[in-house]
Amino acid sequence: MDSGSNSGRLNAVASRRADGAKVVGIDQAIFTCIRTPMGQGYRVVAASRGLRAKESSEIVTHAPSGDGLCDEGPEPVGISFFPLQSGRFCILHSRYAGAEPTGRGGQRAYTRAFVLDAEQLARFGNSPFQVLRAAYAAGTLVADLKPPTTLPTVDLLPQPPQIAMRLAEAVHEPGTVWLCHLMDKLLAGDTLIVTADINLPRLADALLAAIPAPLRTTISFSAGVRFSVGRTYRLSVLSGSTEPIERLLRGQPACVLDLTQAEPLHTELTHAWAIAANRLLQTGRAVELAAFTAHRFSAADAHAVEAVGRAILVCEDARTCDTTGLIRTVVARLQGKANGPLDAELTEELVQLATGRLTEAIPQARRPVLDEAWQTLCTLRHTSPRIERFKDETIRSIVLRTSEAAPMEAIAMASQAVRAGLEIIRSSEWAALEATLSERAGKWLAAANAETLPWARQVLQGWLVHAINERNMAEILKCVDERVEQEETAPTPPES
Amino acid sequence: MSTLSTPSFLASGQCLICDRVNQADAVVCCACGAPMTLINEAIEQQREPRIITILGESNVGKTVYLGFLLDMLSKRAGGLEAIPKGAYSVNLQQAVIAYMSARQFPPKTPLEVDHWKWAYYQVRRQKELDEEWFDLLLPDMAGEALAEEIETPQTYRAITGLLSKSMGALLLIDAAVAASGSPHPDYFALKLMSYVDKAFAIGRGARAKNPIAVVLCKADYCPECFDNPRVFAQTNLNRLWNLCDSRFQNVEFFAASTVGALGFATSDSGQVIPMPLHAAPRGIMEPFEWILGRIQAD
Repeated sequence: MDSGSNSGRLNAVASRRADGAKVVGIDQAIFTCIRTPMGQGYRVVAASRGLRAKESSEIVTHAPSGDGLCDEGPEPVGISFFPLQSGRFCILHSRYAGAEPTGRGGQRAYTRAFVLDAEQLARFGNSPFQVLRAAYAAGTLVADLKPPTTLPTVDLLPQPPQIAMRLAEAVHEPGTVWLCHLMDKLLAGDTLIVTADINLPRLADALLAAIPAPLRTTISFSAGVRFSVGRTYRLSVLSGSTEPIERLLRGQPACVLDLTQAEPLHTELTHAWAIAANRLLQTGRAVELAAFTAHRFSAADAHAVEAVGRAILVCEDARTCDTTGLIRTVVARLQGKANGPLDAELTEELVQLATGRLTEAIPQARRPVLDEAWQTLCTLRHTSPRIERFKDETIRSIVLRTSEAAPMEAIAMASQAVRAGLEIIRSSEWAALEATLSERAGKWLAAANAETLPWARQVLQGWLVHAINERNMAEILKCVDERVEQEETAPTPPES
Repeated sequence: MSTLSTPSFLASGQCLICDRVNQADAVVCCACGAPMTLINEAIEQQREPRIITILGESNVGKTVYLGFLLDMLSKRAGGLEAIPKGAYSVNLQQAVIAYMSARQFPPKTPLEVDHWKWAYYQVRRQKELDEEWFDLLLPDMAGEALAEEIETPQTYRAITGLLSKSMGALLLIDAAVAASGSPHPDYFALKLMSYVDKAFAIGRGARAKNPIAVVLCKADYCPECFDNPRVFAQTNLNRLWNLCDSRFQNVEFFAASTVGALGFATSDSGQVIPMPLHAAPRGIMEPFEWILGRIQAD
C-alpha cells in the first residue's frame, strides 16, 4: 500500500457536522492503476490513516482489476461487501475510469473502498447500499486519479433506508418468486451465484432489504464484478452465462442460478422467513415486510430468524382460520417458549388479534359454532400463566361485548365459564365487569318480557354463587322476583 | 490410456501448488485458484514437474517473455524438444504471438489467480534421445499480485506455494527504466529477492542454492546491456547486485528483448499507446537454458 501508514486510529462512531447533523467518520481507500513515484500497476494508491496493512491486502484480493466488471451497460458499476479479518467490514464501489494506462487495451478499474466497524455499519441499517448512498451524497464516489497518498476519513450521513420502496421495485424485477427463492437459498446457508440481465446492484440491494437487518452482515456479496474463485462471497450477482462459472465451481459447494429463466426449477420454499416474506409480498404488503426487516427485528432476534418467520406465518393464518382453530393456534403459541423479543411480540399480537376476533365473532355466532368455540375457550386447561391470562381476558371481553345486546345471555356465559373451570383471580377486573353486567341487566329487566323472567331468575341465581359483589346481584334478583310475583298476582284479563 | 497408480508424493485431488485437498472433480483449487489439471498431468506423467517461476513487476514484460519462450521451445529452439501437456498450455504463447503479430501488446494479466495462464511442458534435449523427459511448469502471474504478496506474505497462496516449490526463478527487470536512472526497478528487485530469499532459504545463514536468472528486459532500449549484463546490473541495480552476492549462490544476469522496433500511437482519448512494430526476440532462450542446466546438474 502506497500510503504505508498504519497508525491504528479507530474512527469515532459518530460526530456532528457544523450544521448539527450526526455523521459517521469512515476509513476509505482507493484501489486503481496509476503511475506514481512509488510504483505502477493495480494497488492501493491512497488510504486513510486508520486502514491497517492486512485490511489493505484484503482490498487488493477482492477489488476487480482491469475489465473486471461484468455489467455491459454504458457506466457499469460493481459493488462488493465482505468481512475483514480485523473484524471490520469493507464495502467496495468499482467503476471504470478511462483506458488502461499502459496502453495494453481494456479499461482501468477504479475502486473506492470504505472500511467500517459493526457499530458504524449498524448506523446504516447494516446495509452497504445505504453506506454507498451516503457516500454518493457526500460526493465521494467520483474517480480521483491524482489522490493524495493519505486520505481523510469520510463523513457520511445515514439517510432513510426506503426499504419498502426497494421491495416494491423487486416485486416487479426480478419478481417475488425469484426474490424469495434467492432469499430461501441464502438463509439456508447456501453459497449463491446468480446470473441475471437486470440491474445487478439493485437486485442485491433488494435481497438484502428483504433480510432482517442484523443478519445482513453475514451476507458477503458482489454485484456486477467478474467472477473469480479467489473471491468467495455468500452471494455473487453477475451477468452472462452460468456455464463457465459452473465449470469453475465443479467440486465446490455452490448453487448457480440463472435469473433469465422465467422461474426457478423448484419453487418450494423451505425457510420460514422466506415463506413469510413471500406471503407478505404476494399480498402487496411490502411496507409490513420492510417494517420487520428495518426496525422490528433486533440483534436479539438474530438467532431465531426461522422462528420469527414461523410466528409471522401463524399470525397470517390466524387472520383467516375459524374461531375454534384460532383458539387452538393461540394456545399452541402460548405453550411454546418465546425465541427472542420479536417472537414474543408477535405472540402478543396474535393474542390481541384472537381476543379481538373472538370478541366480535362469538357473540354474533350462531349455534353450534357459538357452542363449539365458547366451549373450547372455557375448557382450556391452565397449563401456563400466559394461557390463563389469555383465557381470562378473552372471556371477559366476550362477556362484556355480549352484554351490550343480551346482558342475561352474558351473565349466563360468565357462569358457564366459571363452572367449566375459569378461576376468577383478577377480582378487580371481574368486579368492574360485574358492575357493568348489573347495570345492563337492570336496564334489560325494565323492558323484559314476562315470559323471560323465570329464565332470568335462573341465570341470576346461577351467577350469585360466584358473584364478587353479591349485594348488587342480589338486588337485581330481588327485582326479578318482584316482577315475577307481580305477573303471577296480576288479574287475568277477561275473555271477550 | 493405461491406469497408473498414483506416486506417493502426488495425490488425486491435491493441489499441486498449495497441497490443499479438493473434491475429485474440482477444476480449480478452492484455496489458491490454481488449475487442478496440473496435478492430473503430474499423476499421468508419474513425476512431479519442476517449477520455474517467472517473477517481475507489473508491466516489465513477463507475459511477452514467457510467450516467446514457449513459442521458441515449441519450435525446438536451443536444441530443446518441448511438448505442451494439454491445450491450455498453448493459450499463453498463442495469445502473445497473435497480439504481437497484430502489432499490439497482449492485455494486462489479471490479478485473479484463476485467470492466470499456466504452461505445463515436457522437455528434453533433442540430441539426447535416451535422456529422460522432465516436466516444466511455467505460470504467468500478475505483477501486482506479486507486489502485494511481497508486501504482505500469504496474501496470494498460489504465489507462496509456487515459490516454495520452485526449482528456479526468472527475475525480470525493466532495464530501460533502470538505465534511465530510476531507482525503482532496483528497489522492487531488492524487495522481491528478499522475499525469494525467505522462500528458498535452506538454513540460518546459508545462501540459497536455487538458480535464479536475472533477466534485464527491454534491453533494446539500452544495447550496452547485451555487452555485459553483469556490469550493467552492478552499475544500475547495485542494491540487487549486493543482495545476490550476499544471499544467493546461483545467480546469473542476462539481457533480453522481444521487440525490434517500437512505435507510438495516440488514441481518441489522447492516450499514448506503444505499438510493437516487429518482433525481434533476443536473449530469450539463454536464461532458460542456464536454469535448466543448473537444475539438471543438481
